[in-house]
Amino acid sequence: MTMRSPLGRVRGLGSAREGTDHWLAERLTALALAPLSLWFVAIVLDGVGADYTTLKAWMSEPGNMTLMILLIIAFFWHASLALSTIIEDYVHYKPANVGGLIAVKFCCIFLGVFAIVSVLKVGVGG
Amino acid sequence: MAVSILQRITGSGLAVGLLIFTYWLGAAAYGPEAYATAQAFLTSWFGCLLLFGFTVALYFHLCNGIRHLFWDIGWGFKMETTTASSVAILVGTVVLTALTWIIGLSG
Repeated sequence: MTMRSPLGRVRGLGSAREGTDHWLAERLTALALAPLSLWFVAIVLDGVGADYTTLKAWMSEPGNMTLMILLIIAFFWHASLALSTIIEDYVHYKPANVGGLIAVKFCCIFLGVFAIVSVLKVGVGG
Repeated sequence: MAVSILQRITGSGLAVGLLIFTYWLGAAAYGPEAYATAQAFLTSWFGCLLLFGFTVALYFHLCNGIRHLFWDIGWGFKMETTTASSVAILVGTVVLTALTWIIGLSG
């Protein structure tokens, strides 16, 4: 039995039952990013990007490539969730709100996939 | 307190940082010449200024983010604790940024 009126259900009022997923994913990606981002700063300071040959040799190590891809996924996932929250909180004009939310998701997915493809191209490609 | 809204401001700044991060990786994927161009930009004075800003934002967002995770499990809500953790976040940001750039510029 539902406590919601048929009209309320049609209008989509009430819980969408997915708020906690968003909340939890933002925290879990934050937890992953704490060590991963410090690791990234450390390897940059270590001179991994000094020139193309050094970067390519470093990137072709499977462990390094794995961590880079995990870093990219966590970065863009976290950014997508957090930027969506900011838009939901501050952009009240409906078309801009919906457009902004769609743009954030599309941009994060495009850039994230491009970054992963780039890592694979450098690490695996000839 | 100001530290709270700064989490969103630094986070938005770091999203711009993600664009630079992706540009850097993409340049490497396009080959040695494109990568050399990206490196020249990132090691120019303007590139270094951007990177400096990103390290400040990263360390602040990281330190304050850790506090948020503790808040989420119900720790550290007392007034004197939040004041102390705010100070710790600011000190942590300055120390980590200084350490990073001392190592980065001496290497």
